[in-house]
Amino acid sequence: MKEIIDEIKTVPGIIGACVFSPLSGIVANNLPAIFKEQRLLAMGKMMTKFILAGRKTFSDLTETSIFYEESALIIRELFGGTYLLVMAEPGFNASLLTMTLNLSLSDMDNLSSQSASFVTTPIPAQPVSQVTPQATGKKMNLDEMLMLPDLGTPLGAMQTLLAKVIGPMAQIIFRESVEDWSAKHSVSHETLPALVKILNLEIGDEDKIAKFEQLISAHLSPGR
Amino acid sequence: MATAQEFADRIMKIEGVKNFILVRQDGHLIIHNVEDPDKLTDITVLSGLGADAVKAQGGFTFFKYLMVSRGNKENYFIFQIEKYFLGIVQKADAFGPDLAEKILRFLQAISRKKAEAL
Repeated sequence: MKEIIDEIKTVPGIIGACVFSPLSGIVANNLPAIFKEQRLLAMGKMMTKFILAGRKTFSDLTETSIFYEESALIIRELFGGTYLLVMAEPGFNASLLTMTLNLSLSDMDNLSSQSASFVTTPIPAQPVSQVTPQATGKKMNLDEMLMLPDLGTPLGAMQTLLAKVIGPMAQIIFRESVEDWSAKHSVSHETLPALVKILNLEIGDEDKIAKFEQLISAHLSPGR
Repeated sequence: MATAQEFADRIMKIEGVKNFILVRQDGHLIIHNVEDPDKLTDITVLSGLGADAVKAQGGFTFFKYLMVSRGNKENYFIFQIEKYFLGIVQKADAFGPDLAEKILRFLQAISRKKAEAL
């Protein structure tokens, strides 16, 4: 994430950017210190509403930009409830920024899908009570799991918080770990502790594991 | 401001404008030439008011416009005119920043004329 926002900052006229989740807060940030994280998060949360409401009208919405006299704010959803907020000077090159964003995010997607393609373990049939892609015999991927009402929020939060602990490799590691978890366990809220164990093995550092477990504990409680 | 119909005629003469909608901040629809005005009224008012809230939170001064970028290139713009919001659907082959500048110049001209008339 840090690499992506640093690359974005190299575009002429870009003041900086941050990646955030309304649930978990700021994940990465390279905006000037004058923009306090609490304020950025408040602005970001307001702007996520533009994306969510906008998609009800425009299903092909890609990003929303607000132009003020002094600055422009651009917001785009990255994945599973994580957003990128870019701040720019009024005369910034919008086309160059869009191209940089598309390339950076496409690189991130490619890395993620390449690493996921190495996991070929077949998923065993699971007794599930509701009709999900899993119930129909189709292997559920992370994006589909993020849409599930009971799992989407905790999985999205885990992914974001993992990035906070281990940095830019989090998305790839998380996707691989979820593949591993879904191959060995039923995809449900009850088996999330098994996913945490897999992620802890990937983190491999006691301090970071402790921090990760502390951050995600609230998201593992039943009923969240 | 000129009458709503005069305003609509002039907006539609601006190169790059596909459709438009003019709504009051309380959601009352004034005039439009879009297919589904209810949907656009909601998003126009919600986003316009939201942009004002972000302005206050971020310490910005003047809200120029909001742009919703779309995959089909028919981007949607929202401008504020006193207690109204103007929504513009861009033609897919138009260049968004140029269109936004043209609309802003048009709105500034209206404001100037209004100020001169007072």
